[in-house]
Amino acid sequence: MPGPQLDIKVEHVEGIAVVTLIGVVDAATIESVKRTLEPLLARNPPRILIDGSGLSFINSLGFGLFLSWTRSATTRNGQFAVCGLRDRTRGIIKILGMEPLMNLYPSQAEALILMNEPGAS
Amino acid sequence: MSETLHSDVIRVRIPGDARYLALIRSVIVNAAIASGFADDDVDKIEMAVDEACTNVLDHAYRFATPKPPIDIEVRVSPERLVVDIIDRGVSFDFNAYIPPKFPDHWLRGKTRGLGVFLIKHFMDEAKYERLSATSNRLRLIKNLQQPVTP
Repeated sequence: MPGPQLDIKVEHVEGIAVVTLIGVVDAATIESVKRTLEPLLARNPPRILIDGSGLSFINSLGFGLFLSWTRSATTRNGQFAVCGLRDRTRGIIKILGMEPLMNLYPSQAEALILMNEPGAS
Repeated sequence: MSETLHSDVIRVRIPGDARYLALIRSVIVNAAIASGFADDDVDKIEMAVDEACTNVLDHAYRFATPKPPIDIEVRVSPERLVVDIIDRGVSFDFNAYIPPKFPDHWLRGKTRGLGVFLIKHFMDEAKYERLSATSNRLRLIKNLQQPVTP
């Protein structure tokens, strides 16, 4: 029986919940991602950064959830961003026309700075 | 190596369980690399096959308990890679699929329905066929445009 394919770590940095995903986001692991994000998204307002630098694969369900959570956080005056995605993943997001609708950053450090800027949303 | 792979067929049967998708991806990635596909095309093939298998589990096997196995057959030649995904579930009208338009799809609040779009976008050919009353085959083909010399 195959073991877990995804490690998830949650840290709170400067008021932002940084969720680091290491491994794969696919049909087998997507529910664990949802379970981790649910309580963080329920905060008022939610401030979440997904660090995807350790992701070797992410499927279309994962992209859809990132977009959905971006929308959800924004409507509640919160923040949802993703950093560290590999070039190929960014390329797929671009093909799907999602890029303008998401908050994507090259690194966690840059994301945290920009998310904490006055007036950032 | 290419002579050895010319008529090689790789067959894998996995249980109908998402935990085995990683195994399929690994087989597909390694077959594509050995065939000589560039990294970009390897990624596209991997994604297309994963989306196809996920669709089997989510849709073809939606009401099946337990979920039947999924058969994958990979054929490599100097010209192309052919991947057959064979399921034993509910058939799908693949040809009636209307691809979403972006960003309209997202602006209407939708976040799913990307699997077939990505399959058709990433592969050179995608053919769906109902093999029998209880089985279907999705054939995905990627042409090897410029073989990579190791």
